[in-house]
Amino acid sequence: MPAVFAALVGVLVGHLPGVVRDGFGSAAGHRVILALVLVAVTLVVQELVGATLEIIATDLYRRFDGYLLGRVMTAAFRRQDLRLQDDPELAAQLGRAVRVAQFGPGELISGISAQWTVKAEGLAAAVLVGYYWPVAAVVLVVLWFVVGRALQSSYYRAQPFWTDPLRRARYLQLIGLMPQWAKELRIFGLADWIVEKFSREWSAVMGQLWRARRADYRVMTVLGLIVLAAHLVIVLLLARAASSGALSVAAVTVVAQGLFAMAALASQNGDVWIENGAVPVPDVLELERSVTPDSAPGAPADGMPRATIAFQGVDFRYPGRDTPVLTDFDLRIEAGTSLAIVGLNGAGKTTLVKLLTGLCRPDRGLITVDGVDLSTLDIVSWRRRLAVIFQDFLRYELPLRDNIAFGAVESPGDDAAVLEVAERAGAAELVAALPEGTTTTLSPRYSGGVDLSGGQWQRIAFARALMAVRSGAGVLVMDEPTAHLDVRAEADLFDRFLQLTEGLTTIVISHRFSTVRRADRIVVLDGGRIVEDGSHEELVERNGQYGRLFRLQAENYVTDND
Amino acid sequence: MTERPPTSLRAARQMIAFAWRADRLRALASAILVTVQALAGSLFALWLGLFVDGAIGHHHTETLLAGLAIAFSIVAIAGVDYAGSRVRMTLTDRTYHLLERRLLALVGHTPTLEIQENPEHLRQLELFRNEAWEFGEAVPSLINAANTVIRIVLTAVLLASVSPLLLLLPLFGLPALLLSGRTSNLYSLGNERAAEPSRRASMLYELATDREAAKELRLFRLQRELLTRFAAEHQQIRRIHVSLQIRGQLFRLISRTVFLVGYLGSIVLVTHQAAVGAASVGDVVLTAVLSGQVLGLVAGSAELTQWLLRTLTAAGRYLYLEDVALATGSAKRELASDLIDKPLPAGVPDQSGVPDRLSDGIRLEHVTFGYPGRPEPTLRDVSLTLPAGVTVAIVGDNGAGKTTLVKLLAGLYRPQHGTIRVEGTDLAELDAEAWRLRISAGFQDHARFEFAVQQTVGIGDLSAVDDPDAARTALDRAGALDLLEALPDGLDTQLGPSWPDGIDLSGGQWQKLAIGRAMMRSAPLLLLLDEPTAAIDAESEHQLFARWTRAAGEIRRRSGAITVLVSHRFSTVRMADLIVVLRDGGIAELGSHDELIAADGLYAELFELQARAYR
Repeated sequence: MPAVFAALVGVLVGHLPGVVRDGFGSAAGHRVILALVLVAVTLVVQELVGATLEIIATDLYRRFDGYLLGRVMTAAFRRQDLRLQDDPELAAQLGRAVRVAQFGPGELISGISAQWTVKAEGLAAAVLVGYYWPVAAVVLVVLWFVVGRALQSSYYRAQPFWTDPLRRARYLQLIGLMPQWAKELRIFGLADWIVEKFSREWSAVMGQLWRARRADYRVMTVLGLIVLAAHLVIVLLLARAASSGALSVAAVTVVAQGLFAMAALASQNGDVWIENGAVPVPDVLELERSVTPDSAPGAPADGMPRATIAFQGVDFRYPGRDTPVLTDFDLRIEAGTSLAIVGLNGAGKTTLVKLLTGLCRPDRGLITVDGVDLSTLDIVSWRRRLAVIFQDFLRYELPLRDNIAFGAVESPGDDAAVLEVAERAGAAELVAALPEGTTTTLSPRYSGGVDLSGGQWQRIAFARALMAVRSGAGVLVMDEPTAHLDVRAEADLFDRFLQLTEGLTTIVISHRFSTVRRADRIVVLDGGRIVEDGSHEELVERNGQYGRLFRLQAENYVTDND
Repeated sequence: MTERPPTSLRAARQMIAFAWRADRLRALASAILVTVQALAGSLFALWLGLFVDGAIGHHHTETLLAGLAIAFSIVAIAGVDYAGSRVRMTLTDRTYHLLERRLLALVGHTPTLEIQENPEHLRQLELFRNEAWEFGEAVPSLINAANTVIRIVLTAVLLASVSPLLLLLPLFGLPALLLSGRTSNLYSLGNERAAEPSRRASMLYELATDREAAKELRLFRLQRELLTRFAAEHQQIRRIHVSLQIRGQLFRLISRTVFLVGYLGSIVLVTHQAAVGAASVGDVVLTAVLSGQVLGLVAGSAELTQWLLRTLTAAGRYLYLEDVALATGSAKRELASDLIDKPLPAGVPDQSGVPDRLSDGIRLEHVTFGYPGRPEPTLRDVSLTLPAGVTVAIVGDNGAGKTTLVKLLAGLYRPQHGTIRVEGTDLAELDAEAWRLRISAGFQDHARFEFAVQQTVGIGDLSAVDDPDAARTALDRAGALDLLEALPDGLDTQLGPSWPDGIDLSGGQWQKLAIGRAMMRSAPLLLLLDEPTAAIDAESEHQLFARWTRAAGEIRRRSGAITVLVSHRFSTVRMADLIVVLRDGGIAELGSHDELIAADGLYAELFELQARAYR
């Protein structure tokens, strides 16, 4: 459009001397009037196109942002097991893609749009100039193109600094500002230490960046001089042509404006956006290439386990770790009974749960359900049979209803079902106190949302597991289910333990004897093996590791009344 | 919007001051380059007009000179654009860093948790971080604004030289300027309306890609559900923005049309004058080109005003936070930390009034404290004496006020009523940072410092932060030497799986490191342990506490040091000299284990509940 405008101004100027001579009534006068009308139309069209472009580009920007983030999520979900999280290399790749995708790939769209707009203006100007003077146009297009490339490459050099290297500085900034660290930052008086470290990290990275940017000033100066020389030659030739009448005044006007507009060919407008937007794409594609799906069709697990779940000679080691967690591990769990697993931190308790739920696969040996190899079962179908509360259960910043109904995502049930399981989990009072009932968002970050305490969250997590049970799960797995409950709530929960686990195969992991002793059977893990196995009474009687720890604790609860 | 706290003018002044302090050379260079660029841009039309007139009138010298000026203008504009953007980028980087650094120091030195626990302050803090990029644009947009102003003035002068009537042209641009405020409001309205969906969308994204969440999402088969919800949130965000944007563009279109009328009028005017011989053909060229630039300038200044307002709003957040930080008592000492390349002045907290040892102990007198937004105070009229040299256990149900009491003792909260006295001196009168040099603490919701183990533990005592012996001793006191042995590089092991070679720890292991950190100071006057062992088994907790009581016990007795322990485990609690039982924000019972059992009240009941597990 600007080029059309320049051409019209050329026409206008070309016919003006005629108008000066003959007035507006002459043929030249008509042309001038026509040119003026066309100028008006051009400008209006330019505005309309600009507005439409703006709307479309911005929407496309957002769409692309959402699209790429969605692809990262899909990639993160591609495996049913935790390979992507546990394998250090894959985890690093995932982490990187997740981080960079958040930088807003949509900028790519804005960048391309901005870039194309100026480039198009520059090209149109080149066409105009070329119409009168092809050689000048070609020379300048090439020159500006070279300059543009040189400028661009120096941007590219600057880019790699944006993402990873500055992360450490960003992390230090978080420590200094955000609530998670606020207490200890103050207790230990870390403010200045963090500020110094932050500045050091930043200066180190930015110093490199500045050096990279500086490197091309010389090249640019040389290029600038060449461009200047070319322009001087062209303009001098133009002046001579104009003076000698070889080129009309109109042509001179158009060419001079065109020369000015052609500088847009080297414009870096939008380049930074393109850069920022393009950075995440390769990382996301690479992640997608690295993650192979692992779900193969298998036999349905409906109604399982009817008889037993068994670990047979299982070895397991986390990828990238030297020491195995389990070696030649055997364990039979009878369906319909409750089993407690105890052991020191790092004894492999949680790993057992991950193996049982198909989140990890044994390196050697077999896990069977009713005699069927777990890896031949349909994993989703098997998981529908499981209700699991992890120690680090999730706190969904969503309405209460979703927090509980997520226990049975395929058949979420209605509010009555949600309230029923909440009641059984001891969360009825808590739900009743919510301002908007089951639709209350459980996070103060949303309007009408509320903040829950650790103990309250624990009950919600328990209700979620009970929702799974309600919709057909037959195995209840609880990893430290009472860690956040106070004495009274814990006692209350375990008074109802038998009632809650009736008819289920229950596996509970806990440090707390109050939790553990109600189980039909207790196994003690140490160094990836079972060292003791029996009921609470049997183990206390045997006076091994379990009995000794129990007695040590019990001594602390002896009162004079006893 | 509820915020746009300090005025834009103040924000602009601050940004300029920051830019000047951050990098004088580049600030100056930017100013010069901008002026050159503006001059070259506006004068191009003048040269072009002279060039055309010269060519028509066959004035060779004039044509030649104007031609030279044209060539130089074109190259100068491109060159200055290039150089200017580089200078500006670096200037922006440095200014922004200076700001971040200053904010970090200001917030970090606030004595209480006010900023992090007040939802509005926290929101500003998060916005400040999220809109960092907009904020970084503040200096460039100020520079652009200067550029535009210079060009508007020049253009006006040049147009007036052709015909004073042309000075009316900018009037046609007024609607565009006036409406730009409206469009800017639409923009913030969009952001406001889309804030919750955006927050939800990023929450879902983080959830889906979080390492720890992966287990549960798979077991509950929530993958598809999350993807669907994410897509729906994004759809909604887009809908909100598109509808507002269409409105904004309509406004813009209308205002621009008004300007176009004026613009065409001015060309017609000059063309007519040329036709009657009152103006030269060069004047027509000058007017057409310059008026076209006026369009750009008006559009530019409208956009710029929006942009400037936006970035200044972001800059305003800094000022907001600065005000809050200063109001909460940050930086009693001079913040001379403004030069990036200079280290901070060594800050020595004012030690006066902080006792070397305790003999009288710590007394709470009618202390009341409530959280903002909660109707009931969490602690109500609590009076309590912690005698020098004792270990105190605090027990009670969730929500009884145990943690609040601990935070008050650490000076992280200030009582709303009542006083806390250390050796008779009001804690509020002591320099909070000086007091904290004499205390130490471990919390259940400890922080995860993803440094090398040495520093993760060592920061518990900055004077020995890099001393491996000190770290080892502290870890020994925390009963965490076995953990150290299990780490691949010992004290040099990088923590946090997202760092190169960083390793992940279990919750219990992180907790042990936090306890180690609390144990770095060997003889604090006050040690606060707020359920730091919740993720560790009862026996280990018992051992830990017993060991602490024995180790350096002599030093503590001599200095009158106090240990405060919050625990749910009565096996540990009973070891304390004094047990405080909290209920509903008040002290329900007070005494030794034997006394409280004999009293047969709340303590005895809770103890019995737990003891049942062992009978």
